Amino acid sequence: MIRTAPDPAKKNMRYWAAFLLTSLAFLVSVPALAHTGEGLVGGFMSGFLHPVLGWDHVVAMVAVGLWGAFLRAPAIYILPIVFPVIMAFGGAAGVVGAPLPFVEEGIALSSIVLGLLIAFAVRAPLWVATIIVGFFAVFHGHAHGTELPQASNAMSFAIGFVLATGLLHLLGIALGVLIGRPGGKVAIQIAGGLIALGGLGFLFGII
Amino acid sequence: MEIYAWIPGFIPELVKAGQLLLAVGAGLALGNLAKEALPKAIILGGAFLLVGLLGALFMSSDFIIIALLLLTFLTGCLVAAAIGRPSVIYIVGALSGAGLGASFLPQAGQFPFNIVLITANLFGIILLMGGAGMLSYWAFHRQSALWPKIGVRILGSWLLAISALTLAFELAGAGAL
Repeated sequence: MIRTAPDPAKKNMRYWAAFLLTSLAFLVSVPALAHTGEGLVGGFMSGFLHPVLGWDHVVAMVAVGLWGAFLRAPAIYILPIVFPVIMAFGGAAGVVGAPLPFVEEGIALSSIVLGLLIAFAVRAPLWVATIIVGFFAVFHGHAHGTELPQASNAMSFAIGFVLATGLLHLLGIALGVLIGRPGGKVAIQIAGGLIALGGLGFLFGII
Repeated sequence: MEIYAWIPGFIPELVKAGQLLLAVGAGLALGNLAKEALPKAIILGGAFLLVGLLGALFMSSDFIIIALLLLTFLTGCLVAAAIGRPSVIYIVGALSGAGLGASFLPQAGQFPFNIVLITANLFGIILLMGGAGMLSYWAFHRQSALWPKIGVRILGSWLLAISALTLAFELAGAGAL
């Protein structure tokens, strides 16, 4: 039996028909109602985006990682462990409505102090670094905690924002690896200065 | 009886999320044990899991979610602090087993119809716990580099933070705080 080659025009027509049918299917389709993802979107995404979209949180979290990298082991891993733990207790205080004065100022101050510590390459002892980072973590946690009761799914919100916070710390640590490169130390000190300036901007409401 | 009638809402959503967090936390904590101590911890955890399954008949979802979060908090503490002391991990492992078992709480007397679901769910949890345990064991015992140990300890601190926050939320909602 002789097999003839398929007609290219017919083949093209089949592709076009398939394309048109697929396009039509997309055009007339309606959202599936089986899994709306309300719990996840209302909880996880809002929790994840809360630290990421707030610049005051972002710079402070990155600064914690940067300073940890600056101080090297064991601070490089102790600080990113201490921060979420103390932050959780601050958050718990926020959830139950325990009052904490000057929360926004405390958050802004965290950027200023951590930025200056990086800018001046301060090599504080581990216990001092832990107390400084832990102190500011309370303010960040409290701010998150007061928003938790409004989340549609508290656990998803908590997972999202702890994950985002941790990833920002890791970003700071990753940037801190630059210390070993030529000119890296100066670049990080400049970044620290910018973080401190940013903190001043938050404090005076310029940013 | 429609076959899917008993599937939706078998385990409340929050309890399910609590189960997963505890499975990861318990796995990471167990992985920090030395090889000789592991079988004892696994047998102990398994035995208490069976006890917990029986206890599930008498549990309420409000109580069990708080218990799961407390246990996740404990396991998070152990992992973040890198505590590998067998006696401590045996106790927390046994409690975690009991908590996980008890979290398969039936709703509206559906228990006898859900053996298949319980088995499948249990298999998933054991798989997750085993994966977390292997990761932790690899990091703490098979690697000389520091970063895998740091990574696991950071994971532990995240579990601790998530459970503490959700616990505060649950307790505040119940009027306990």
